[in-house]
Amino acid sequence: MKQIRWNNIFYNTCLACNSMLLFLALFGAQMQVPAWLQVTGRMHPMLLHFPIVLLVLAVVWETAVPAKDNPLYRQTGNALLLASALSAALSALMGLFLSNEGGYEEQTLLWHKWSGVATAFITFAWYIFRERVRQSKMRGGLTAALAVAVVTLAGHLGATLTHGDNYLLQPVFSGKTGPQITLEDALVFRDLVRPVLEAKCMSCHNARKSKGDLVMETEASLLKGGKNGVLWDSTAEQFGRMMQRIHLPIAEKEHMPPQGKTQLTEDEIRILYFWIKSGASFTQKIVDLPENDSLRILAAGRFQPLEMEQYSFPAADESTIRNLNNDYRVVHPLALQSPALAVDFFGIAAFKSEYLQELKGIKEQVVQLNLNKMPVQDADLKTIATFPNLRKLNLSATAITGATLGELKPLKALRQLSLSNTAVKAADLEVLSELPDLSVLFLWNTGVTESELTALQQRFPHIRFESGFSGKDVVAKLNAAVIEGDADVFDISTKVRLKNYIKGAVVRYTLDGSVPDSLRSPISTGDSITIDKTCLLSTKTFLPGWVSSEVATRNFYKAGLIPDSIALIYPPNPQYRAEGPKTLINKVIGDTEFKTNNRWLGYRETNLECLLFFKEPTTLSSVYVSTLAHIGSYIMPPAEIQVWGGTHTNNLVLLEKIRPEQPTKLAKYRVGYSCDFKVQKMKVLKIVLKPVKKLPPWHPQKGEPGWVFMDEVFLN
Amino acid sequence: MSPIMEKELLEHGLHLNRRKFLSQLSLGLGSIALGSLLIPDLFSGGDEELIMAGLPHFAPKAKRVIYLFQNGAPSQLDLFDHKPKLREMQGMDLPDSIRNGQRLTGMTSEQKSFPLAGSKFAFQQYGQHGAWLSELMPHTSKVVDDLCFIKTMYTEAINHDPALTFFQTGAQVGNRPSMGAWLSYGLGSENKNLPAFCVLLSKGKGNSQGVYSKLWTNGFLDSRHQGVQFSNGENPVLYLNNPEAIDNADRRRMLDRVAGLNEENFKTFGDPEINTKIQQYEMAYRMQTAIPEVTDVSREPESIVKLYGPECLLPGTYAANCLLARKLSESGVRFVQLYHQGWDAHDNLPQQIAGQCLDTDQASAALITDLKQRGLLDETLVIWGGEFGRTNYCQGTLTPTNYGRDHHPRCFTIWMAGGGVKPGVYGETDEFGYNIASNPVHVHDFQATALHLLGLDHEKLVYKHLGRRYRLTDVSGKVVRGLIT
Repeated sequence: MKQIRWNNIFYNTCLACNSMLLFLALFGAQMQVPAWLQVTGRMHPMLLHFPIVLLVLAVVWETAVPAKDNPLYRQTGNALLLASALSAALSALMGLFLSNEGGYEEQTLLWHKWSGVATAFITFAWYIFRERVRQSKMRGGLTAALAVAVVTLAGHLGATLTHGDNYLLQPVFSGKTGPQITLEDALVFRDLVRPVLEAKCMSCHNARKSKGDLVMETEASLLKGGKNGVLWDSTAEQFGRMMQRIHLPIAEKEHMPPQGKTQLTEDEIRILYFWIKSGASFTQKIVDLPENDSLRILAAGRFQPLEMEQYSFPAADESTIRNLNNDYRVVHPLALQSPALAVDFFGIAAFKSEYLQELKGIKEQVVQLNLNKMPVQDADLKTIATFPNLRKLNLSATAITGATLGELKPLKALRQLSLSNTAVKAADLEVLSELPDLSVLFLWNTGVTESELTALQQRFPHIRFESGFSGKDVVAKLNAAVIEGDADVFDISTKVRLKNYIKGAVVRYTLDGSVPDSLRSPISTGDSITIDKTCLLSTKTFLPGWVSSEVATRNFYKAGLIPDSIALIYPPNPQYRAEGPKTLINKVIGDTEFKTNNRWLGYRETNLECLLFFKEPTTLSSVYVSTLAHIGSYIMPPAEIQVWGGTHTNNLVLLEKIRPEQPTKLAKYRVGYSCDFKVQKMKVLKIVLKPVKKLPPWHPQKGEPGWVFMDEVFLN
Repeated sequence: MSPIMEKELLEHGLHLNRRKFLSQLSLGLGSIALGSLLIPDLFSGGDEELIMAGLPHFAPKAKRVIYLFQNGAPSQLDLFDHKPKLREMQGMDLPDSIRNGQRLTGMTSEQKSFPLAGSKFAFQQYGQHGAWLSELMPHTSKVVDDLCFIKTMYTEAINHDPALTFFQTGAQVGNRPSMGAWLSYGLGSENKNLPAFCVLLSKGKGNSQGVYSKLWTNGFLDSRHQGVQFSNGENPVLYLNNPEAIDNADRRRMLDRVAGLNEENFKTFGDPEINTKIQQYEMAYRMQTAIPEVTDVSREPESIVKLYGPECLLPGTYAANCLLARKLSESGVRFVQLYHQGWDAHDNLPQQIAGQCLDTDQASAALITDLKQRGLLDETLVIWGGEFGRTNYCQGTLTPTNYGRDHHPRCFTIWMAGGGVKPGVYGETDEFGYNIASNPVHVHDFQATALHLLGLDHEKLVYKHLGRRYRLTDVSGKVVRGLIT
């Protein structure tokens, strides 16, 4: 039968393999493996999975599946056992070839070899004696257990050879290492370089599996190097073999770590590079490096900062802390897992002395207490003195007088105290001699004079006294008053307020355009001023000991006569058409932010020409046009203004023509022009504003056409 | 039921904590193994839990941040990074070997030449560490011994909005949480009566770039971490007063009823934002007393007015915002974010930057002095800087007295102070002030360092959103130890 023939072939192959295996296992050390066999040897890592799976399957089949008398069952079991035996023998053979390539840790290799060989033999023996084993449940169980044990051992040892020690359990135990090293204690090699080698190199270059005869585990073996020689040379151009091979393109055969393994990061490469460059010391401390040393900068991010203060007292109860927190008192740990607490008070109106007394449950843990601006009284200092571990106390702008500062003397741990902006006097500071650790004292805006401060500094040289800015010798310049009015354009009158923000300062003003003087000009009382004619309001602020303010001005316009209708001869530029012709008579003044407030009519390509109509003949004697100059944005005063009048558009007569003065530097301002003419009656008025044709030679955009902007016209 | 509602209910169903997850699965090894696959930190305690405690990971140096953002990018070459070489080579072309293919903005990429422009301003060294400062910063020069100048900041963006967004949120595109929101999330608020993250805006006369609320967004974090923008007027927080005929008792009753309704809603939908809303109403109620206490400047002594400059009393100015920042910070606001606009000097730089410095120099320095004299500087991290730097070559026409500078992301200077920062000068640029010569600091490095000073490990401050964990420092960033005491 065909099937039996196949079985025989497999059986015989298996027998041959096992014989060869026995021979090689005993005498293989002397063997020279030819190249083609090396290839099969390298297939060991692939093939080894077959015996493991097949054997486990066979074990399950032979022990767990009932119905032993069924011939199909037996045949399947036989096939499984034979397949296991054959694949185990082949894997073991290939493994032997591979082991000849060397570079593995001897002890592990020895155990792996023999457990592998044992797997092959046991499986084969099981196949041969399968019928006898099947006769008793116990025999079957024992054989199965032995096979599983041996194959597990072989598999685990094999994994140890390729992946390194602890490979299996590493994810479970990692991250549970002892306390973090602080920057202060860290060594360049031990804490910076070695971890890189450990993570990225040592899985191949360790005592068990020394690829290229290189072991990186100890200082001595690192110095020794591998079969190609030493690893580094701080004087060579590329700092020697290791850096050279790290820097090779990844596809190169010589590149390290080899393609497929986890590569070094940029920072790791730099750590190795700078370490070798600086002479590859094994004992250098990181903190001894100069501060701007590249290695130190690289190192800094990897260690705990130096200054984590350790506190000896126990943490307070979490619920106690929670209960002490409310909207006006905040109690919080300095950081996660820190027993030390900081307490802040907020809300002047809500503060009560009891709030301080309630902290007695956490008195040991409070290291920072912030009472800035709270109405703390002298008597409260007694409560504060019961916090023995207080390091930082802020009492600025509190209501204390200083009389009871002596109460603070139990605060032996106090380092920083702020008494700024309080009534404390120099005589109250006797307590300083009782505070040995105090290093900074804030005394800005207190009763302590400059000479007293000098004396204190001499007496307590270890304390830094911060007295801040007194402003005594500074002569500052006053702000101009802010002019607040309802409207720039009014019909009959308008009210204006002059706001001054500096206490005691006097605001004076004029309405005729002259600069207010400090003696005669009227004083603004803070009430509003009534303005009933077109004028320029000028104000200036005065206060002894201060430099007087700049002059602030603002134009106010009496609206005068309003035409019955208005028309524009040319349309304005689409960007600046505001409300159309109405813009000029809507009593709203634009400002220099012409882009955003949409109150200006803008023209560039054509003149601004408008016609104003009255139903009845109206007496007029002056026209005032309000325009914008924003030289940086090419908006110039008009090159020429013309005013025409008549009873009909057909009979207009030129009444007045002016050519406004042109600016000589960049600026932005509003400017109005008054065109006065002989009093006369008319029904139609035409106003023409010509834009500047070419910007002046000094302008950054010289030669370009200018703009003309107008927002309002006033007729009288 | 509407599809939106259904989706919310589904999300509520998914909003299970791991204890429920485990107890609802049959308790076998398999479910625990499955659980640990789905919840990676099941057995290590979980960093989510650590963060929920709202506590620093380790003892912090700084408790709060005041970030003085100089929006528009101040010119480091005219303020901090003294390069005499540029004056020597004034008008000569930037060598290609220095530019090295650096991309340019659309504003100068068409320029035919790149004439080097030395600073017009005089430089001098100040303080123990010999920090260079130009004559534009007379007040800052008096506090240099408290400042740490990082001369080698660099960023990835070349235009304002992405660069600004990158600095604030760690990503150039929007919708990630801002730095202040991350801190509020990681450390919680100190003072429960004020927002943990406040934003103050001011504007100088120079060419300015926009700032938008996306810069102080909470992104995907709970909306209570969002920055609260204060108003520029005399009342920094609007609508705090009760309307006429409503007293505090009425207000209290109203809030209690609203909270009751919201709780009903929460029971139905389980949307955590409903709880946030209840908490925000409560905080607003307490803010009615807290804000007037904090923002009242009328009782500041005269020396403070002189220190910050009298402008500090004019609401909406940079000086006023600096003073308000100090007052908010000392009252326990974790993160006060200032923006001062107007530094984007593509042309007329000498004139523009002088104006900007006039507005900011005194008050920035005053903030340092003021925090220091109250004993608060050591627990407050102050940061001053823009979103990138400006080029060493001139944009537009170079004249002996006038020049402009384009955007430059490859190196720029910012300064930090207080809160565990080591005063001094960190990093060096090349003699052209174009490239970094040593010790570069990437924006993510800066963020990692700032978080470290606040006691947070930037790799552990994470939030899981849409299936991945997000960090302020995205996937990079290293703590720069050289900046820390």
